[in-house]
Amino acid sequence: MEQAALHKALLLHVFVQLQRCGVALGVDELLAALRAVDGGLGATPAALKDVMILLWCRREQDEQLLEAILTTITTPLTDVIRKDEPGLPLEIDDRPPPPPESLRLPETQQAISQVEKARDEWALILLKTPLVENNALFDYTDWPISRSFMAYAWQRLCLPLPGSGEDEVDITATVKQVAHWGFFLKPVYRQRQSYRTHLLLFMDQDGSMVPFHQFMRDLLASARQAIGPEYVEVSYFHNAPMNQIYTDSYLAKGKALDAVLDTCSRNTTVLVVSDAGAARRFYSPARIHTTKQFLARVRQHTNLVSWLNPLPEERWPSTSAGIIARLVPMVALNPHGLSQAIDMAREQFPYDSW
Amino acid sequence: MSEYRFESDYTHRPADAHPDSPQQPEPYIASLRLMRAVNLALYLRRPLLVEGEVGCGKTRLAYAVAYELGLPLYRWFVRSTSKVEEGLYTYDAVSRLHDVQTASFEQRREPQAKGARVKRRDPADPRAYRAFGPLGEAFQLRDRPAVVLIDEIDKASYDFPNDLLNILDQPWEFSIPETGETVTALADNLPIVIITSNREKRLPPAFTRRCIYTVINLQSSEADLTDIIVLHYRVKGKTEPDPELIKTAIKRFHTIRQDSRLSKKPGISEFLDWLQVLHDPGSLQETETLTQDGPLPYPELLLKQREDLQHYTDL
Repeated sequence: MEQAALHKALLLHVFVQLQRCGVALGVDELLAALRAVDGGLGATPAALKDVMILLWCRREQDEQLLEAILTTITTPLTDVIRKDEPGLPLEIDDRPPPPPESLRLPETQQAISQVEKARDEWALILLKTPLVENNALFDYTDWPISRSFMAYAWQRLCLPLPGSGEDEVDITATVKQVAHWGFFLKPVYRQRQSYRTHLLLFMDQDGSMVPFHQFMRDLLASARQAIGPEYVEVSYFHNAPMNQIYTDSYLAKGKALDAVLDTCSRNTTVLVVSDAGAARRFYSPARIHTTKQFLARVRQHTNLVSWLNPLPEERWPSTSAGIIARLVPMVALNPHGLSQAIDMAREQFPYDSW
Repeated sequence: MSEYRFESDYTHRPADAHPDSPQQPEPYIASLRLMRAVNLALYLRRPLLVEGEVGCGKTRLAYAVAYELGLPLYRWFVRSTSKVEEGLYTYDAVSRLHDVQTASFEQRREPQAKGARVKRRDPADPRAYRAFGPLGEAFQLRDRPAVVLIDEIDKASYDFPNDLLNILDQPWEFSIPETGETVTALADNLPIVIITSNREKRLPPAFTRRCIYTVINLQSSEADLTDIIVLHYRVKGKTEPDPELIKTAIKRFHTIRQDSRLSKKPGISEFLDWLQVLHDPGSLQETETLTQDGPLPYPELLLKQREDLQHYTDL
């Protein structure tokens, strides 16, 4: 059937274009679409488009991208089908489709103009490297850590701490044991499957951290979504956390650090998100000293502390970050950075404190 | 593979419907896109993942599909502690142990077994203690596929969808170590899985890739809503409300949905409840009437959050 062959050719072309634009599609998806056409589910142009959307598009951006690709096919699909002429070649425009306008967010424009005002050249370079890339579709969720990785990392916080003791009765194992022994002596215990954890986030705002404001907002939102808003507390500071921290990202409402730390328990995880001075190219003894005091104060309440640094490890030596990295487990920002930071925090649980 | 087509028409139900199929007709109007999604899922036998607001009809879709095609419907209520094994089978080890212990008592008391007594489970046979869950039942059907509804999968733990994928893929089988059985679904009758999610949590990408993903939007036009109402009353066998009332109710409903102050917009199910009370207050003491611009009657049926209610009761 010429029509089916034409539809399949179109499917293949659109599939390849979508893949080139970064949509995560595998051969399975193409085969499923071809099977659907064989089954008569893509008989009309609208039905064919629906097949592509239902099987290949998971986000709104993917759908917009698909529409953009379809417009680059200069012989419109509807005309091709209506003309019903076998062998009519599809004139295909090979230029990559322009990214849809609606995806350029105003917040990104604001962030870019803010950074251009700041005279920190490292921050400027960082902004150009991960965010503004050639002409690929700009997706502001394409941080080094995507939302799904963040969600997965936060789930690790709810896993039982190593060596934290077994206090839940395992009925199946108890019954098995009784059946084996022939009498009941004592129940079998196992570790709790999940722990409700308490997370304390300390985030560095303004200055060299401006390009990462959106990322930190995403991080906070994903933590709240994964763990529960009542178990996540966030405090803000500028450059180094001192006696007074802020409860809002505009650094307007102050609060005593002690008041925040008083809510900690032994199971609270503390995560600090800051460049720790890596954006500057010198040591700042004041910053190091203040940070050291802060860490000592936190460790009076909980040992589970780690530090997430948005800048890569190459930037840390010869800056305050290099020193602070020896005081606390510090991890650079990369796809596995967050889960690593969480794991490293939890490894510091003191085994002998029962 | 058996061919099924969903046309959002409850009169198409076959005469030989399965006894486990929903018995009440399900009035459902599906958009063209939704029907295509269902048919794609039916043809490819991939799970259908339906997302949307609360009250937009995700769960009712599964009932509508099962009713129209005369297929059995098995519903799995997922909780935050759910594991995939629970949907396949449960094994009651404690009852078995109990039966073993009581059997030895009874033998000592009454050595001769009487034929008139109630047949008890035989502790020697482990199959008497295993019960199949919704997916397990679906895997065992031999003459037709089943519709399995997995409701609110975003409530479950993060690993749950990926574990589910392992079952809903070749070779479509699972094993029961306690009895030594392996249950395999028939290639011609693979279950039709409809999964709903309230978008509270993000689902793993490997899972969403495998599913056919669609979103039900509540952007119904006035004509759509009128159709839904008429169908709803016709199927239930009740008298329809007055057309003027329907028109005014739809207009007010749309205005409320466009109110940006609301934290939770009312859905279709709330609207139908509200319309029912306006149409037939029954034995309510103080009845309220609906007007174009006056105070909103029975706001508590539409608005379920305190801050939203305050907007409409202070007026």
